[in-house]
Amino acid sequence: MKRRAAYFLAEWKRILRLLPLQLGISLVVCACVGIPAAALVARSAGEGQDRYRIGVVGDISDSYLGFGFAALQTMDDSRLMIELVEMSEDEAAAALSRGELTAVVQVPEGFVDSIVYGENDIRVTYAVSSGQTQLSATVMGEIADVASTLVTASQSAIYGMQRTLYEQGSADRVGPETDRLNLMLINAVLSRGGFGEVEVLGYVDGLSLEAYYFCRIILLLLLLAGLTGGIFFLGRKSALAGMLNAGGVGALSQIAGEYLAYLGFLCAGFLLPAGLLTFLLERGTILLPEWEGMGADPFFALLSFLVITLVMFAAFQLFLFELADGIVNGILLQLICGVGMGYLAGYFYPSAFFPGRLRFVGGLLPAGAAARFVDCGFLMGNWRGEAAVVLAWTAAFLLLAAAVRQSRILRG
Amino acid sequence: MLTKIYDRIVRGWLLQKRLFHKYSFLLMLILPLLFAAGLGRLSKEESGIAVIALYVPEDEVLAKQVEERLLGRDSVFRFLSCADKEEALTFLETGEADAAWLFDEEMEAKLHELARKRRIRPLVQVVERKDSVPLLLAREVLVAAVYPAYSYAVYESYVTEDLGFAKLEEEEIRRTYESVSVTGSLFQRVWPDGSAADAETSSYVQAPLRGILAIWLTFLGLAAALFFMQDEARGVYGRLTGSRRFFAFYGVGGVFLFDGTVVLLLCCQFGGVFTQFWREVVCAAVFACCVLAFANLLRLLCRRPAWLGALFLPLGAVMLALSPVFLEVLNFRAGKLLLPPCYYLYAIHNNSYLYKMAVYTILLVLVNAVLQRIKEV
Repeated sequence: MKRRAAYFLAEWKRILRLLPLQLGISLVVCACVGIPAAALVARSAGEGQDRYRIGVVGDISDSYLGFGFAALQTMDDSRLMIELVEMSEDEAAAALSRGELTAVVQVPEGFVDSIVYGENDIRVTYAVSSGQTQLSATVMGEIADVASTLVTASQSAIYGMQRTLYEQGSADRVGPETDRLNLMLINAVLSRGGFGEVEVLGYVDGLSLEAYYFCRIILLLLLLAGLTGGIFFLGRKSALAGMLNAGGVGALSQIAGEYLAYLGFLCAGFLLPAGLLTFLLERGTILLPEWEGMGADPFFALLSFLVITLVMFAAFQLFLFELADGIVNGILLQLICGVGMGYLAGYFYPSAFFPGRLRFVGGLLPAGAAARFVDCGFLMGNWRGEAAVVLAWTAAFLLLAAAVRQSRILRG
Repeated sequence: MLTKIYDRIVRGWLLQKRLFHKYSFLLMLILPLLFAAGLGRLSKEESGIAVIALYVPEDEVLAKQVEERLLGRDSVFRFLSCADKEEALTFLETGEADAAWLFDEEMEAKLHELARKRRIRPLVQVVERKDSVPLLLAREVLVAAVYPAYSYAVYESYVTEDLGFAKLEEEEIRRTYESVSVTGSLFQRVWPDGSAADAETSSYVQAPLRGILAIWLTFLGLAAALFFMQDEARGVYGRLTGSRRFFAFYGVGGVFLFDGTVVLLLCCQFGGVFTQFWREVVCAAVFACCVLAFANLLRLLCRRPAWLGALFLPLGAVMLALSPVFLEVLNFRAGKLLLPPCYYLYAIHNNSYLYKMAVYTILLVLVNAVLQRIKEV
């Protein structure tokens, strides 16, 4: 017992030595992530819905195209979702490269003529900024499909009417009738929103998007804290475990001593971000719809849930370091497991965006359990069941870490 | 000369054996492969940024056609067919759906009536849990599914009533329409360098895979630096002078990153985000060199393993936030250009970033050489 206590104290002394470094890291993390994230959350809450900003390149002086462009900017429902900006090719390429535009639409020469004469052989190209098929690119594809359907369906109606006139021997009426039908269809397109009668129920049972990302960013940082945790395990000699075991401190006691010290190390690192968040919430810099006008009081209630989550994540990270047998592999395992689990559990994209089985797998993982638990804490829901899952994961990781340590001791 | 090359290959092989001897290193290489393969497989299943419950009356032919159009297309929305209105509203209440679209019981008759009067009135009741950008877009998708039928009805009534060809048979009117009907898309997606993007079939669920792997490879380079520093502390490189030790790091890091690059390419293949063979190989090779130089810079700046280790969390957080992995953050351009993953992710479809990445790598190597020189002095 005395030796176990001595080992436990030795671990805590190590923590105290590393504390300034850990606080320094927290400060850097807060500066690198906390402030821009808070600014983003605040901006999103202040402005309401963000619009997709699209650069339009090419000659749109043509009367049809100019009218269409103006109509989209002023009369069309899409103006709530899309902001069109006319610019030169160079400006657009530079803005796209800087990430200031979601996409650049290039209208080629002769595009309108191609539509008017029904050739449709010239296509408008749109380039998205990223080198990947991101969500914004997928959404752009959907918008392009909608626009294409509206134009081609209108074209078909007009050409059908023109063909009928030719077949019935009334070719002289084609011009004026085309103009009339064109105007009717343009009117229909502009007021197309009227096909649906919209009723918004205003459900507030789930988290708002701002609150969702507020919780997920904190959870992600706690999950990835193992990257910093590496300094706690630096310089650890593999022979030490065997020596301690010979001295009466078994694998489970070793793990328990290290775990409590490591948890203290992580909690110390969390103090600074928690203080900063409290300050920003109190000042109203971070605005969450659920906590509007409540200052930082609800965050204090949430803190206990976050600390319990940290208890599980600390056990998980300790297990990974134990499994990795070496600081280098340990850090890499922390990264791939942290980011991978975080992604599957919806820390980056809302999990509702994923296929059913992926959501199921994400929910089973510790990161998924942590997310559900913190959501319950945020919404003041029934958290007992989720807490049991979190604590069960904690116990499982500690036992697994002890088993790995024991096998290492036995192997010598 | 040949002996020297052979000697270096042997040293590289010995280090490789040392790394493979640790099962955790193998585990660290296998985990990304499993993640990529799993993600590639599961992402093929139905997913969407919003779920919409559809109720279509049993005998309503037009509504059925609209439903088929919605269900048959490749979309970012997920549609659930419901037997009745109550079921659709239950999906909405339980949170299984974000919106319910309830088609009118007499949709076809109403649509023809509206087309005849050239009016737009509700044909679908749209019930939403709460308003959002995805649901705004969904409404546009609904309109695009309804509009072809409406424009046809306008054409039909225009021909029979406005043009005065009332005697024309319905079949003839349709045949004329179909003979000139325009199909196909007016839009084509391209990459920023102008190449066509239609061939790529990966979904947004798979898309972050390359970004995650890019960050993982960067950390592999940093882990190599930590590994080297630990060996230095143990006196493994005690016999080497400053400049030779500088080059030794490139050798050690090169072995780590060779394994990592092979895994990265395999993961892209298994995850379904692989593009063209040579483009992938060249980008990954330049990226690995860039990571190596970047890791060496941090090694030279940090000097102690604990300081380098302390950088990992802030660096990881910054890379996740600024690199275009999950979303593209506007601004912070200067910060982005310091991070190797950003170059790699843009370079896959934009050659100019490949050249920029190569220039950045050369710059890093030069800065490293200067730092090494200062350290020696």
